[in-house]
Amino acid sequence: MKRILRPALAAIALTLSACGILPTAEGPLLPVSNNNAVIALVDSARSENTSGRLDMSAATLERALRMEPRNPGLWHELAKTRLQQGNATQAISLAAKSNAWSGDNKALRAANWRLIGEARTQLGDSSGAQTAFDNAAQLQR
Amino acid sequence: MAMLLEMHYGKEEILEAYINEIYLGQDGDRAIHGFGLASQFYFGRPLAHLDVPQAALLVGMVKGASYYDPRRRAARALERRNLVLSELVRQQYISQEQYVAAKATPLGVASKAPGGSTPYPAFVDLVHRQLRRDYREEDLRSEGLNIFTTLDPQVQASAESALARRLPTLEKSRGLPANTLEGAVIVTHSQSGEVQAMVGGRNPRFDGFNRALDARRPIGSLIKPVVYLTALERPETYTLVTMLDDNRLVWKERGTSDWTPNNYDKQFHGEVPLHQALAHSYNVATARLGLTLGIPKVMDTVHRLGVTHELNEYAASLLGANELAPIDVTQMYQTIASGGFQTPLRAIREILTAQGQPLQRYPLSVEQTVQPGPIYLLTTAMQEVVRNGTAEGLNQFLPPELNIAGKTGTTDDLKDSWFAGFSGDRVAVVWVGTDDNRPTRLTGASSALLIWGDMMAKLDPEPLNMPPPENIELVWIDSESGRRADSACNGALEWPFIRGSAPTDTAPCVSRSPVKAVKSWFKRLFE
Repeated sequence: MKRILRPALAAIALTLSACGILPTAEGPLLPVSNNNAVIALVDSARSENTSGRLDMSAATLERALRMEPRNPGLWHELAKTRLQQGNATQAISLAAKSNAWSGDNKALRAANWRLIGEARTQLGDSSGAQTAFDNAAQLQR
Repeated sequence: MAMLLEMHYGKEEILEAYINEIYLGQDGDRAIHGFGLASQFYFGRPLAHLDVPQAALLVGMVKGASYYDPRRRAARALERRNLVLSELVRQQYISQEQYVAAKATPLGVASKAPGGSTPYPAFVDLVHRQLRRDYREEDLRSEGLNIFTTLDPQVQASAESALARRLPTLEKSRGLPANTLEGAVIVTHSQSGEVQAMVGGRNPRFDGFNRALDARRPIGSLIKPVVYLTALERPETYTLVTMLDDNRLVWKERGTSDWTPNNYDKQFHGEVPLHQALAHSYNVATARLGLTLGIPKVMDTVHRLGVTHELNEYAASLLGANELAPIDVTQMYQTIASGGFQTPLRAIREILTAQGQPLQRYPLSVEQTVQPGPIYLLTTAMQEVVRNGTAEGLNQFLPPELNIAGKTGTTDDLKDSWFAGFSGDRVAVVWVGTDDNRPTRLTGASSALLIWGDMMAKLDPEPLNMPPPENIELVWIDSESGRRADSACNGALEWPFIRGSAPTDTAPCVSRSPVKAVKSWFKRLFE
């Protein structure tokens, strides 16, 4: 039973992530948006990201944000991309912006704090990073 | 240099770049680059539709566009054109007959340049400035760019008509001669910083002085939220219910005469809670608070909100003596509206080349310059300005459930009238005054606010419901004493506090009797 289920779940997860569902490592799967145009943009941003076209991916996410500027999932995605691009300072601001709109979504807030922690580590701020990781852990409790 | 160019590019590519980039004339402050634009500029038609003598003229002008300017130096330009024609026939690009016919035609230059005319000159002015700010000059000179802007024609139309409709009425009601008042309006999206509308004067079609960008005027009470924000960033000392002193103030500084600010109603109000001092725009309480915080600290907050100009640090700066343009004020209020995240205002979404490729630009940048907690508290106080403060008049235009946050501004002698505020989706700033800085007998509440309300009412604004930041808690406060209360207390209100900063002493109305406690528990449950 388990052996059958697992690949099936993986397949579902893949399908979901391919149609604009925001996977958070440990939280539930969250739909990024109800707007098909935004979902399509997030999908393109992801594939641009996987093929290493980070600038393009960020620009696509910006377009999605123009449609839904209060969507915390989009701000989070952009923060992740900026961190990949090596812009830790922007990543921190964008993750904080995502947090401001996250409300009760603890999984997303925790993901933002982890991202802030990683960015601070890159900037050499190890105590700040620790605080951020602690915040994330507290939200996951 | 030439050799390097030839190594990297073919001759045709160099020629093409040259044809697209060469300077061919001047249209006011706009330089005409490339044959495509020059064709429009001189003949009012695309390059492909030029005849031989017209093309010959443009080629001839390459040597010196102003020296051979066909509008101002027609004879010289004609001679030059004919020289090009004779070269064309000599090298057998054209026949002898064509040459004779071409030589006989007049220059055929359109008498007046088709000024880059647009119904939205103020907005296009902003686009031009941002193109220069955000893109590389050489990229912008290639042919056939498609520029996608953030203008929202519906918002623009509402802004224009509200200004055009209200100014004459205001003039009449204040006994001012017709056409003396001027105004400017800017509307942006509160989260993205995209500029949706910009009106630079009462005649929105007039492509002249753009007051939205260039009229720098004292901002008056629009500075007050900044003073209160600076205070609220120190939760150990200031909360929304901290009592401020609105008694007479005499500020002595060596080398200047004493400064004794007055309130608009010429009264002093004694001890007033912080939120009320902002709601009623009390000058004396604000000035005293600002002096305690330190003028440089307050001006530093102005900068953190996105104003880049240098600011005078006088005591009067605390009441808005510094001059800013409506665009600077919009940037300031934008940062407040977006929760303390500074995002540069933008008028351009995207530029695509003729081939549909996006032109490289600077990416969206967001910078958290103020913590969300104090911004949340400030916004709550600015909502009270509209609910029952100086901007109460807004309620005749917009339902109170929208929870609009805003601030009125009036400067000395009633010269400038301002209103700046935001809904859930839009930030808007309105300025009304005169170009020669005459007293207008108008206050922020009596003029700019009316235009703001009139305009926003047509835009169906989203309500302003901010999610409280993590470190915010709600506490019942007795309105009389400013102490901690509970829901059973008459006239008690719930106020947001940065966690741990709420007053600890309880008001006399809080009863310890279990019956009352249970009653208040139930009351809270159902409220």
